[in-house]
This record gives sequence, structure tokens and C-alpha cells, in this order.
Amino acid sequence: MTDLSNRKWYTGMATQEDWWAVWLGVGFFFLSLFNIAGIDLVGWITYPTKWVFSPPEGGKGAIGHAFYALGKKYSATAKGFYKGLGWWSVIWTYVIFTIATCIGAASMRWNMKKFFWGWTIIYFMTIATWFVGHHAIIAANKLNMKKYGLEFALSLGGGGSFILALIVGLIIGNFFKGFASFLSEAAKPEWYIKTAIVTLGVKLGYLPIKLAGMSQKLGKQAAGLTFELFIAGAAATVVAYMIFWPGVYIISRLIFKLPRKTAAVLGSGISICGVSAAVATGGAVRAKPVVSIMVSALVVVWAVIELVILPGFFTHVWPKTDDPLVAGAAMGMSVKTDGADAAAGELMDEFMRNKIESDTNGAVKWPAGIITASAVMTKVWIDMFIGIWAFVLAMVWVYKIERREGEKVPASEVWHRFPKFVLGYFFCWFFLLALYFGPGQGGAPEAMPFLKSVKAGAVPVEKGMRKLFFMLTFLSLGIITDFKKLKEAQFGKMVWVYFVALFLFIIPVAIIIAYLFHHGMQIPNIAGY
Amino acid sequence: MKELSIIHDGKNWVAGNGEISFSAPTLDELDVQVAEHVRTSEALQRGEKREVRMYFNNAVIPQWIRQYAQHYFNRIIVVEG
Repeated sequence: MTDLSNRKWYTGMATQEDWWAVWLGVGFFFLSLFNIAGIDLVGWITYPTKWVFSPPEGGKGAIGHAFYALGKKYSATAKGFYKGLGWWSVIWTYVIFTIATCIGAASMRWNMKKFFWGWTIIYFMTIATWFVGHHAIIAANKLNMKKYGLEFALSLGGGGSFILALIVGLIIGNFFKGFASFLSEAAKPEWYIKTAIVTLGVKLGYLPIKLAGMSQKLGKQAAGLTFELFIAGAAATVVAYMIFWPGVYIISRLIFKLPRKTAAVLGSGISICGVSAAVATGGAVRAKPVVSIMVSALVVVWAVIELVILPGFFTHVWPKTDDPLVAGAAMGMSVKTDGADAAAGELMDEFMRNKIESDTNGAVKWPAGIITASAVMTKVWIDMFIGIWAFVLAMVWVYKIERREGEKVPASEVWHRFPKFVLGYFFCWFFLLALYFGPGQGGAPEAMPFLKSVKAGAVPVEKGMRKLFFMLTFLSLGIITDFKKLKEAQFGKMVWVYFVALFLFIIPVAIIIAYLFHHGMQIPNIAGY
Repeated sequence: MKELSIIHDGKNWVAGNGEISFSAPTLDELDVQVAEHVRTSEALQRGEKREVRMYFNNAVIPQWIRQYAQHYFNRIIVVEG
């Protein structure tokens, strides 16, 4: 089989997951915009709510309402219809996203039968863990547990569902390997997370609109904050590159005596952007693909270990809720796959928002998604920069280190390594910002009816679709993570290079850089609105 | 200009396009074979140049990795007569 999908600049558009994340995210975003014309095409997207087996009289949490169509709450034109869906919204969501993902899978020439069954099982396991994770004893906090008739709750918010999904996935991936292999065609955490990141662009663009509904000043504050994150994330990333890569390369060469090419690939894998950097660097320095493949297997496992440790560490040890955006940015620079990083950011978003609300007895409440955005922002810059970095490395290698007469490095390499899902992320973000500052008049009261119609479409995508794809990511990450790989002998000292470099160099430096560029940035307080 | 796909089969770099195929343990040796073929088959005059583009065949990258990175490398070699 031959796959030359990077022959021309456009040849991978129908056949690569990166592009299909854009088509899915932007496609449903466009559907959401029909709300401006009064047609709600996305209100069916399902969403869980907290529940208990026996809700108190007059309290909340009936199992019958544990899933609802978001249009029931947010639709401007079809509330009645979507209200009637209830649990059926789970099926609507399944059918519509199955059609969409199957079109993608078919275009990418995957095994359709395997994908369909794998997707179906993963989807319903996701819904089941989402449901269990929203039991009020897991998701409620001390401020709202009484409404569910509880005297104690774990205060994990939506984070409990993410943890459960990861645990279920890891159990399958490590103890039911035959089943994991059966699911593998549809266990695609990077595809799901890239789609979720495109919808995070909707979230970022929607934030000023949402907060403008509370006060015009808050809306402008949110728009300003997202831009600050954009700039600070870029600056922090460039600094991180300059320190991380040479540092890990030197550790690999001087302390662990690894060969030059292996050190370069490992340097990128550990310090930059995990698998994509390892593969890009492997290609750039013309290493045998097996070197990148070995490093990639390590990266995937270590990223999940970071996902398990870091959100809790940042929330409860340092910097707690004092500097949530420092923690987010540090996460983006430390966790080396998009999936694990965005998932860790989202988990920390849930943890920190619940913690601050509980700690202040409800006096401080943060809007969802800003901490996730800070974790994803640094990652997105890292992703974008990898193409340029690999191009520079390729030129150094081809023209200096292993000089080969007549070889040229095509500039198109930068484009082929550019993460295309980032285009969808920025497109959705800037499109909504244009609506906010244009016809939305920066949140002026006379433009509120228009902004409300935008909101009716944006919420199901930025909330329902985004969280669903996050859940799919957690479960799939677990399914493809086999901890036994760390034990495999051929990795030898690479495992130790990774451990030493990550915990003694990358994470501490990431924290320092994140602190320098993000310290003091404040999330708007929406309590009382 | 010639276009070839390229892979590494675990031992050798292999470049080809269905009609011709070259194989060598290093890229340097592969390039020598390709250059020799181009010079002969196209009867290059002294100083005349031809570009050979090599596109990495992503099908040999394990599918689980392709979701993270979908490009290994493309390269161009310039053959001079």
C-alpha cells in the first residue's frame, strides 16, 4: 500500500485525521450558526447532569433527567422540542456523530466494520462512565450537595467522569488486550482531542459573549484575557524551546551517552511535543523510522503518567488556586501529547473551579474552560512551532552534520508538519470574536438579542460536543496505553533519560517559565451574576 | 524531474515508483544509485541538472502513530550531469 498524502500541499485534506478534526469541529460550528437565522440544528447534543438514586423532595437529581439535550436550556427557537428528548438525546448524539465520524473514517480508508463497532462500544462506554461520574457524591461540592440530599460529596465536578473514563480505558488497555485491540480502530485520542480543541476555539470566542450576558465589562475582560493568553503562550513557548531542547539533548549525549540521532529524536520527543516532534525530528535528521517509533511509544505512556499526577499536584500542592493560569501554561509545556495535555488541562479546570468555589463558599466562581485554554494555548504554539524547528534541524543536518551532495530540504516541509487542526481552532475563535465585536457591538445591550442567538448555537458545540470528545479522549487514551511497554528491554536507558529529563528538568523549567509569563493573570469572577 | 516514494524496510532505504526501484543501507549510497540511473536514462549533458523528489510513504508508519504525526520527510536531490 502506498500513502503519499503529503505529496502536494492539499493532498492530505480528505485522508488525514488532522484535517478531519477541522472538518468535524468547523462543520458542527457552522451548523450552530444557523441559530442566527432562527434554526437550531445543534440543540440535540447531549449533556449529563448530577443525579442521585433517591432525590430529596423538592430537590434535584432525578435519574430520568441525568442526560438532556442542551437545546432544552439554551435553544432560542426550539426549546420545547429539545426538552422532550431527555435521555433520547444520547441516541440522537450517537446517530449524528456516528455518521460524521464514519464519513471521516471512510475517507481515511480505515476498516469501516472495525471502526463502526469500536466507535459504538467506545461511545456507549463513554456515556456510561459520564453517567456514573455525575453521581452527585462524585460531582457535587459542599455548596450544592444538600440539593441532592447528601451530607458529603467529593467535589470533583466533571473531573470525576474524566478520571473514571481513564481508569476504565486503562483497565481495558492493560488487562483485556484482545478487547483493546478490537477497539483500536476507533480508539483515536488524538483525533478526538484535536476535534475537541477546534471546539475549544468556539469556547474561547464564546467566552466574551457569555460574560457580556452578565455584564458588558466582564465580556471585554474575557476577550482581553484570551488575547493575553495568546501572546503569553507564544512567548513562553519560544523560551521553552530554547531551553528544553538543548537541555535534553545534552542530558542524552553527556550523561546517557546516546548516539547523536537518537539524542536528537529523544530531545524533541521529551522536550517539545511528544510523538509529533519525535517523528518530525526523526524525519528531519533522516533517522530510521524505528527510532521515532520507539520514542513515540515512550512518550505516549509517560504523557498518561503526567496526566494522572499533574492536575492533582497543581491543584492541591502548588500553585493551588492562587495562580491557575500559571498551572495551565506549565501543563501545556510539560505534558507531551495534545490528548494528554488537553485532558489534563480540562481535568485541572474542573478541579480548580470546584476548589475555589468550595474554599470561598461560593464568593468566587470561574467560568469553565479558561484554565483548559491556558493549557492548550502553550501546546498549540508548541505544535505550530514544531514544523519550523524540524525544518531548521533538517537544514542543520543535511547541510552541515551529514552533508550530502545535491540534497535540498523543500520549504514545503514546514507546511506538511503544520498541525492543521490549529487552523480550525483559530478560525472558530476569531469568527466568533468578529461576531462579538462586529454585529455584537462588543456586548452592547442593544446587540444582546443577536448575541443570544449566537449563544444558542455555540453552547451545544463548546459545551456538549467539546466535553463528549474530551470524554472519548480519556477513554481512548486509556485503551491505547499499555504500561508494559515501559518494561520492554529494548528501550533501555531511554526510559531513564525520559524520567530524569521530565521530572528534574522539563517540569521545573516549565513551571518557572509559565510563572514568568502568566503570573498574576486573573480569571474573571462570575459569582453573583 | 523524477518522483519516487521512499521507505525504510528495517535494513535498507528503498526508493521506487513502480517502474524502477533502488535499495541501499544509507541514503548516501541510495543517492549514488539514483543519480547514476538519472544520468544514464536521461543522458544528461555536462552541467545539466535534474531534480529527483522523494516522498516518504506514510503507509509504513504504524497506524497508531499516524494520528500524532502524518509526515516523516520529503526530500529533493539534484543530479548534475
